[in-house]
Amino acid sequence: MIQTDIKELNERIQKESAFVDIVNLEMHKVIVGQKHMVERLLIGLLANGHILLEGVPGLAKTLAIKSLAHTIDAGFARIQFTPDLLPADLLGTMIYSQKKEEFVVRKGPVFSNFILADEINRSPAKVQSALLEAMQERQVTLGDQTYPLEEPFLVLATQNPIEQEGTYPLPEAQVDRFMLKVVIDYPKKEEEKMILRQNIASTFPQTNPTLKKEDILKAREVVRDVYLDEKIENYITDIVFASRYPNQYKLTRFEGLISYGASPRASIYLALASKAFAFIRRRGYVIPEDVRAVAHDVMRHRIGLTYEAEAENISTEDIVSEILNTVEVP
Amino acid sequence: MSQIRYFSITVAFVLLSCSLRSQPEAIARLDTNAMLVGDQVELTLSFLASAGWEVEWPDFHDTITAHIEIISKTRVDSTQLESGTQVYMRQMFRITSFDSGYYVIPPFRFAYRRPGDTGYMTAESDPLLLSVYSLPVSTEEAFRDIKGPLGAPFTFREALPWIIVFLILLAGGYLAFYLIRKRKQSKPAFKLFTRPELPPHIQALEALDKLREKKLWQTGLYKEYHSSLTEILRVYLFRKFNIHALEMTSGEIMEHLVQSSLTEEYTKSMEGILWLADMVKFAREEPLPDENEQSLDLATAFVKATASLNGETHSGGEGAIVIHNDTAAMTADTGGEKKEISEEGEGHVV
Repeated sequence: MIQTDIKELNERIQKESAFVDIVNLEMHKVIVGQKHMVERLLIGLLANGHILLEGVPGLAKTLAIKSLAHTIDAGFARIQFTPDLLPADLLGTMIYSQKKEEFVVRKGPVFSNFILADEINRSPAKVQSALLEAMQERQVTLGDQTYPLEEPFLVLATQNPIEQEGTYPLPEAQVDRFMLKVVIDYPKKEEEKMILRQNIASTFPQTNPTLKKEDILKAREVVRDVYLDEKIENYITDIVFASRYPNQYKLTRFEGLISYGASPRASIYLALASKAFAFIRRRGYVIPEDVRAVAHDVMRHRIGLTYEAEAENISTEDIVSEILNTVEVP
Repeated sequence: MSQIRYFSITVAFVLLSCSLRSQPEAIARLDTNAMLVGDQVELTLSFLASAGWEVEWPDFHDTITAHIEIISKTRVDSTQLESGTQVYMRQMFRITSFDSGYYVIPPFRFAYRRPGDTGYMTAESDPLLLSVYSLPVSTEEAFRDIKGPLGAPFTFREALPWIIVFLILLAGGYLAFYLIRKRKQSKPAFKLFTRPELPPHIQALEALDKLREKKLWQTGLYKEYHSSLTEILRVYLFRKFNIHALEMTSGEIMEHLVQSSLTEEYTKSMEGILWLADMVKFAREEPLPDENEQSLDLATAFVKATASLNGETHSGGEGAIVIHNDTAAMTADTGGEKKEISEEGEGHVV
C-alpha cells in the first residue's frame, strides 16, 4: 500500500496520544466504570469544547471532573452555583486598594484552566450568561480592561435533571455553547459493588498530576491536523440537515415533532469531536464510526422538540438515533 | 281527316296533362282532428312543386291561430321525386290547445315562382278543423280535490347525470382514501412502471463486472473505485439479507456478518474489503494494483458464495447462514431446512 502523509500523522498521533492511556488509568483509579463519561471528558479536553454533564446525584460527575483536573497539572476552580451567586463572584471585580489608592482587579475563579460549574442550573440567568460569555469569548472584561483566559480553558458544568424546582434551566442559545452534553447513567451491578468497596476502605485513591498544560495544547494541535475527508464532511452535514429538514431524508414521521434543528455549531463540533475521538483511537483520519460515536452527545441538546413530540414521548435521543439509522453512511 | 282530329285530341290531352302536372300541390294534414285539452297533435305541411321553383314557406312563431300553440317543429325537409323533375317539401309541427272548442285552421299559403316568371303565385292548402274537447263534468257527483300531476316514467336518460355524479364521487372518495393511506405509509402515491428487479446476486455480479470494465483505479480514481465497490456490496447485503448496510458503518456491517454465522473465511474477506475501502475513502490511501484487483475478486467470490442463501442473517435464528470451510461449500439453515450450496451458487437440499 502506498502511504501518504496520513502515515506520518498516524505516527505523530501514536507518539502524542500516549498520555490518553495514562489519563484513563489515573481517572479509573478513582472513577469506577463511566468509561463513556471519561472518554467524553477527554474529547472535550482535546477538542477544546466545554462539556455539560447531566445525571442524577451521586454518579461521580463532580468527582470525575475534579479528578481530570488533578491529573493535569493545571489550575482548577470549582464554583457551586447557587441562587444568590452574582456574576462578580464568578468573574471577579474591581476593589479599591487604600494602600495603592486606586482600584485593583480581583480576578474571580473563572481565571483558571479547569472550571467545574457545579449545578449550573441553580443560578439565575445573569450568572449563567456571565459564564457562558467567558466560555464563548475566552476573555473577561473587568472595568475597562479585557483579560484573556489562559489556555487550556475548559468549563465542565453539571446539572441535575430531576430537581426542577428552584432551578433556572439554561436557555437553548446558551446550551448550544457546550460542545457535548453527556448524559450519565447508573453504574452496572459489578461496578456498583466496586464503588462500594472503594468507598468503605480506609483510604480513597487519588489521581496524580501526570500531564502538563503544554502537553494538552500540543495534543490539540495534532487533533486539529487529523484528516477529515470530504465524504465525512458530507456525512456530518447530512446528519445536521436531517435534523432541520427531516422530510428531505425520509424522516417524515418527525414532521411536526422538531421545532428547530441543530445549529451550525453542531456541524463544527461534530467534526471537532470526531477528530478528537479518532485521536483517542490512535487514528490520523476520521471514519464514519467516529462521527456516530459522538453524534448523540453533540446533538442531543441542539434539537428542539414540539409539544406533539413530548406528548408522544419522543426524545431527542430517539430523533438522533433515527437520523443515524436513516442517513446513508459514505 | 279523322286521323288529324285524333292527333289533335291526343296532343291537347298531353298538353293538358303536362299543364296539370306542373301545378303545385299544397297539403295540410292533421293526424287527428279531435283531441283532449292539452293533448298534442301532429300537423304536417307539405308542398309538391317542380324542380327549380322558388318556394316561400309559410312562417310561424309559436302559434298557428289564437288557440292553437306550436310546441315544436321540424325543419323543412325536401325530397326529389320522379327522376328529379319534382320536389316534395314537408314540415311537421307538434301543436296543442288548452281551450276546448272547434277551431278552424285556415289554409296555409305557399308563394312560388317558376323560373323566368317575374311575380309570385300562390297555392293554398285546404282548411282544417280541429275539435278540442274537455273532460265531461258530472254535476251529480260530489266535488273532488284537484288531482296531482301524473307521474312520468323514470327513464335511463334522466338517471344518467346522477349515475355519472355518483361514479365521480365514488372515484374521488377512493382516490382520497388511497392518497391518505399512501401518505400514512410514507410511500409514493403513484409509481412509474419499472422493470422487475433482477435477483440481488445477478445485479451485484453485473455491477461488479461493470465496475471492472470502467477501469477506475487504473486511471487513479481509487476513491471512486472503492466507494462503488462497497456500495455494490452494501446494496447486495440489503437486498439479499435485509441488512441495512447502506446506513451502517463498516464496523456495524461486520458485527452483523459475524453474528450471521458466516465462516471466518468470508467474514475476513469482507472485513478486508471494507477496511481497505475505508482507508482509501477516508485516509487517502492509494492501494497497490494487486490490492485493488483482490478486493474486486473477493467481492465477486462473496456474492457467488452467498447467492443461493435465503432469509435474513440472524444469529442462530431463522435464515442463519452457515458456510463450511473445509468443503468449499456452504449450507444455509433456512428455518429447519438445510441447503448445501456449491461455489457456483447452486443449492440442493441435504
